[in-house]
Amino acid sequence: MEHSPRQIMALVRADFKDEVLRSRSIWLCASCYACTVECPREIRITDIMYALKQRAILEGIYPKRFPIPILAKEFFKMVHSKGRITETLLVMRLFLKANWRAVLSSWRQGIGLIRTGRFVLRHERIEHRAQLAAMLDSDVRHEPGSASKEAA
Amino acid sequence: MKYAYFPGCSLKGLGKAYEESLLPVMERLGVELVELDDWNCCGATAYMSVDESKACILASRNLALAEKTGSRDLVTPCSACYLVLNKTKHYLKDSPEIRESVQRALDTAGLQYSGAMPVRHPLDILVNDVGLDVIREKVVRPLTGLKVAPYYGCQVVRPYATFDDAWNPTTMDRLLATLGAEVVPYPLKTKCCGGSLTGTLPDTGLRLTYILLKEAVRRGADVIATICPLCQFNLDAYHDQIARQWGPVPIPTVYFTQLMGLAFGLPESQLGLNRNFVRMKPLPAIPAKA
Repeated sequence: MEHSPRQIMALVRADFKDEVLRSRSIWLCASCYACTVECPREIRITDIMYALKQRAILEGIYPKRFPIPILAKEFFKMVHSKGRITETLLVMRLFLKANWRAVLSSWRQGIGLIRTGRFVLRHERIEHRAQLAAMLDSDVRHEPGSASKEAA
Repeated sequence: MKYAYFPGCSLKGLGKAYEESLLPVMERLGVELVELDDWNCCGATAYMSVDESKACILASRNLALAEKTGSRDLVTPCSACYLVLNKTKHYLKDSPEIRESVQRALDTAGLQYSGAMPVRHPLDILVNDVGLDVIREKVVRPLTGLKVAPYYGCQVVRPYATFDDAWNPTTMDRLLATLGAEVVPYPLKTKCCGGSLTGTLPDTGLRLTYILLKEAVRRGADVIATICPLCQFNLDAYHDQIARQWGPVPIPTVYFTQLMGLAFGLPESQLGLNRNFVRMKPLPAIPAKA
């Protein structure tokens, strides 16, 4: 980890914006909410990490070919066009965009998924895709993390 | 008892076995789960990383569809769905800005949402609505002698610990004991499995998964019981990579609903147990009625 969560918080408060948004550490948060529940000052660390990720994606600042933000963006796109996620297809897109060599190291897992009937190749999709897209498009851009700030 | 049911994308994909076991188990208990018509993805953790208010809009469409059914509660078995739907409810209550965005989006679609409908997990329904006594009556094949590590993961208990404790939940422990299983102490029961990091940053993600598997083996468990499709996938599908890096930790991970199905005497072939990478050993035959 480049920066510990404490260092991230300190960098944010001291206005080291670029350092924070370029840090790989913000992407390592897997959203387990352990820190949020535990923090004696009731700082919602998970939500702050989300706000930083949103800002990094908005400004296009994140480590090149780093798979985590690429996964988030591909996920976002698939939901917008299909309304649902087909996990196996999402992972294949991630491999293509981030690291196609990963396919080579995962072939046994892929075969295992086919064998156990879990490798879905047909896109899951909703019927009212236009309705969902209109709902999402009705939204104007917000400051990342505005809801967490107000709710805190 | 009748509930609106939100399966989420995983239960139609990698987590098929969860739905395959959940539905017949609930049916056996007289619980009717009515799948929401045309539900959409909850957004999970990935969508929230891109746009917060759009994430809430995504979830609110499902909440509005659920309210339209007139059911009293919405039930969702996936931890990510459970968290996102509950989180959206909280944000709608606390943030005027999110409320405004969501309201505009709902208006666009001609949908309404009052915010009243509770979002609940099947564990909560089973233990608090159905009750352990009713469940005990349905057990025809007690899981006697089966040592189970109860693994809850993160997002059902944190940050919204609505029906159990954030660090030491016991709902599933009590449920498994009711089935006759021996519940082993498993202090890592709410530690993170690595989430999607197992796929994006395997060195980091798989280490977390490995620690969970190793501890369950060390505690003498025969099987890990989970309540989340992503936890099940991580604990089940990466044994090759984990063995190469840290040595083998051969233990199967199944959904708690699969164990319920076995205890209820449902046929193994219908509970999705054959979808595991690491298979659970078959249980001894059902004892003949005395």
